[in-house]
Amino acid sequence: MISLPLLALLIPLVGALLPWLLRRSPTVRNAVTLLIPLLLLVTVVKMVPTVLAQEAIEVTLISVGPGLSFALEVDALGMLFALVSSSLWLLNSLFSFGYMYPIHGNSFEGQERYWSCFSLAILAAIGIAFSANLLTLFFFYELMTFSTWPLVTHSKTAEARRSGRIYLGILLGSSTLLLLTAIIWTWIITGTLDFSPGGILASSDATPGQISMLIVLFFFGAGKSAIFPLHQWLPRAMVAPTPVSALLHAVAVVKAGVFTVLKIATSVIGTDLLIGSWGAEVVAWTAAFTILLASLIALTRQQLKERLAYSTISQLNYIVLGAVVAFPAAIEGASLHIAMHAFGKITLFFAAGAIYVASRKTSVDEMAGIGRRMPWTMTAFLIGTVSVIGLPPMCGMWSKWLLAEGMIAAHQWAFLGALLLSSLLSIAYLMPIALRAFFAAESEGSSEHGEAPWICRIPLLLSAAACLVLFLWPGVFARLAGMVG
Amino acid sequence: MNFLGAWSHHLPVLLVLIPLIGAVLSPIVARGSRGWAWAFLTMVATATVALELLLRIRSSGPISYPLGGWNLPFGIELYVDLLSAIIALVVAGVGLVVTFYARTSVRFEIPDDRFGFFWSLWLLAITGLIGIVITGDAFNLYVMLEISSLTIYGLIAMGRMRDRRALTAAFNYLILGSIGAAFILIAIGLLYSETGTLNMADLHRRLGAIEANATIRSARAFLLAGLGLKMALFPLHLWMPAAYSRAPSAVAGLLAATATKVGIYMAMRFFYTVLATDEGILTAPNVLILSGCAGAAIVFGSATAARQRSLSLLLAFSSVAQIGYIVLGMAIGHSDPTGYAMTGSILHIISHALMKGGLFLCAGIFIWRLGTNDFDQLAGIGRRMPWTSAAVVAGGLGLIGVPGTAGFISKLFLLRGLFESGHPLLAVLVLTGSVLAAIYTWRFVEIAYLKPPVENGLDHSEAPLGMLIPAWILIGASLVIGFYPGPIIEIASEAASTLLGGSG
Repeated sequence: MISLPLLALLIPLVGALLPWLLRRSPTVRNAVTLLIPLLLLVTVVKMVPTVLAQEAIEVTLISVGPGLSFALEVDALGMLFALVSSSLWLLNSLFSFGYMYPIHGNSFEGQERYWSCFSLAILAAIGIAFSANLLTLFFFYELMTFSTWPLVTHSKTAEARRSGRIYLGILLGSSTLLLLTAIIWTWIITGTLDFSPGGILASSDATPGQISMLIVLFFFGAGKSAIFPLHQWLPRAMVAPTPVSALLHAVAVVKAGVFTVLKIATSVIGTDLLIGSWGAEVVAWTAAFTILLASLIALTRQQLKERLAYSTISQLNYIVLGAVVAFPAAIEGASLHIAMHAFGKITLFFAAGAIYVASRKTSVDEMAGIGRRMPWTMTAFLIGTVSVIGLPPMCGMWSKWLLAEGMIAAHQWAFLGALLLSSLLSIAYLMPIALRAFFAAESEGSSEHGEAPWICRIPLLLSAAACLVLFLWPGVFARLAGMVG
Repeated sequence: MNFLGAWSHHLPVLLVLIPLIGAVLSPIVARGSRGWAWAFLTMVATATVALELLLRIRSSGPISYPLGGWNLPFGIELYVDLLSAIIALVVAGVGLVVTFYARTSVRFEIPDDRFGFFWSLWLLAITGLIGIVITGDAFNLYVMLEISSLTIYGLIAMGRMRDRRALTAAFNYLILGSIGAAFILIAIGLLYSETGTLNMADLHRRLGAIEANATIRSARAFLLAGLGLKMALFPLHLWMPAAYSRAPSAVAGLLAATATKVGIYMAMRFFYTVLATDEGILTAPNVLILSGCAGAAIVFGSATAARQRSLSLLLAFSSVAQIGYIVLGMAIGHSDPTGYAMTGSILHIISHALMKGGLFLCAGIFIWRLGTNDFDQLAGIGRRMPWTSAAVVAGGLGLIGVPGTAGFISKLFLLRGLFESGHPLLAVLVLTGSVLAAIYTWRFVEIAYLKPPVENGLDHSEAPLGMLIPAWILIGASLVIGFYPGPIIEIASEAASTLLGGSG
């Protein structure tokens, strides 16, 4: 009997091989690209009761040497991330059909690579979620960088090449120079790389100065969390096809960054050491600055996807801020925000993709009055907007509520102010798009078009529905988030 | 596992004798295509003996073998410890794989009438390289060094059918290599004049008993410079890029994987056993020189690699950098009591031999198909020759040190050693080297996968399996080590602690 966490890695691995093996039978391949995410989702869901019962699921894959191994362990935070990634992968695969085929044709160039890299990226996400030590986490973290590069450069244009360079340069540079340094340093200080609740550094004899240096190295080393000044790669990655932006650059890749940060805060450094260290101060102020800066930049961007990307940067740093403030409510809110932001943001990206499929429009200006032509899509867009802003009755409210509660408990009034101000700014940069779509007049000479095909609309309606359902019943996500820390 | 029966206690000498006899008989026994079969069989036997020797030494310790039964220290001694056995196995193992590859590649790179000559030189070069590694006698080491060097000059010059510039490359290497070898000879001579012995263990003992004087100090200086040339340590690497990129493909693969590694082995042997007296060769200034050169090699080599216009030259400059990593670990090895730096250094010898050997074989495949591996001709090659290109990417990831490759494991140990011994700045340099490696690897990736293919009327189909399989064996082995490094780490750290123990 193969253990479930291992199975959760093997399924996307098979999913990465099948597109190449089935290249001669597209129908079978298409079926498989939906079946594999479904299988993964079932596997992940099957582990939920065990995690909720607080029983450990541990698997050692390969023992490398004393204190070094590739090993898996499923805990609440990992389960939360895995659940979000695998459920949205299923929706996104459906959306990929609806997006790629109308635009690029039924057998678009490089489709084996496309499906295969997608699977590998999810494999990496699951691996990060379930890793039991820093070595395993670092392996999957790098796998994710390399497996998503071909997706970013999918169009092979000069612009895609340039973006690909920045993507790889920032992500690989920060992880090699900072994250790896921090990992090896931790290894020397503690003699182990295994995660442990409460933090492995907490029980070591590291000096406060070392701890602070490590905090800075770890938090900036996880460059996927897009903290200033390492945020540049995210807007550049928008050159990728929209399904890639939707799943990877709103969910899997960026959430892998903030997951890493949260995991390190709770299981490597330990929340007790974070509170009051100057390293945490540096990170917290940078995160707060990033939150506001990205929100302000988002206001100025006219390309919808780019505006969404800056919004993502801002929202990611809510999580970084929550992790580094490290009060229980802040950690819980940050963990929950991984899930809640994902559902809202992927809805917005799906909508942006659907608009492009139906009308080839990419700029916010062109979208005035589009709600009358595309009522389903724009209703979903409105729902996503409300959720990302964090207003009831959408799920985004819960995580923001908890984050604010954490800031108050920590008496961090400045950071609370940053959160609230950024929420106001997000109203300013998102709401007008949705409102003008319904209430403004269409500009002269705009093309005739209707709704996007149903295969585009179904995933975005489902994710929009999820925003509403999770407001009413945050259920399993809230329970998992409550167990973190 | 004793399939050699009564011959088993002659293992050390067999390791040299088999390729030597193979080389001498090669032009006589086998002509034309049979030459390859002969060389291949010889290499199979050599590699088997090397493996058996490694296993034996792991179970029962170092082996001393007095040649011809002459009493030590007067006779020539073969002395094989774990480090020697590891390097010997790397030379024999990679040699075997590359010999397999050479069957296809030499047919279009070497004139038909030179086949017998080629295989003879080939086996002699391997004999010399293995001989250096297993000898316990300083002068014998010099003899073996000359055997390997002279044959390698010849082998490089045989690249002339493809590229006339191979002749100048070989000539340059001949001059610089001979200077290096002469320096080593002078050093050995000076040591002999002071101690009256050539046996390495005996040298070590007697040097420990006398005060270091000007003679011994100049011996050290000559040795440092001579070995620097042989290792191609920056700034003494000038012979290497041309030699590696213009030699016949199989020769480039063999040299990149083994020749400089044997140079590093000599340095380890001399610095950590023969000359490891109280004052030692690894004095503060020497460590500074070595680690400074190694650090400069990492930055300069990687940065220059990123600017090259052909894959072969890129790989050669990348070797300059990678040798920097190995020398760095060796240079500061003695100041790291935990042994991580030295273990990392030995691990990197192994992983770099596999990765760079495999990469040069891939570079040769492109030459075989396209007549060149200049980047402008490689545009879009990822689609046409997917397996070869994928091998280059996998090898490149290893050079970067991405987790899951052998390069990551060795760099991890090296980095820990650098931190443990209090050299965080050098560690930053190593990490910077990784980022630079990503830049030069990604030059190939962008060209192969993102550029539209060139139309030049050449056949772009995938390489024959006779070349592809050996390339993937080497690259695949480096990936296997990356995922399952336990046993290799164990062997390397044992070898490192033996070596460090010798320095007292």
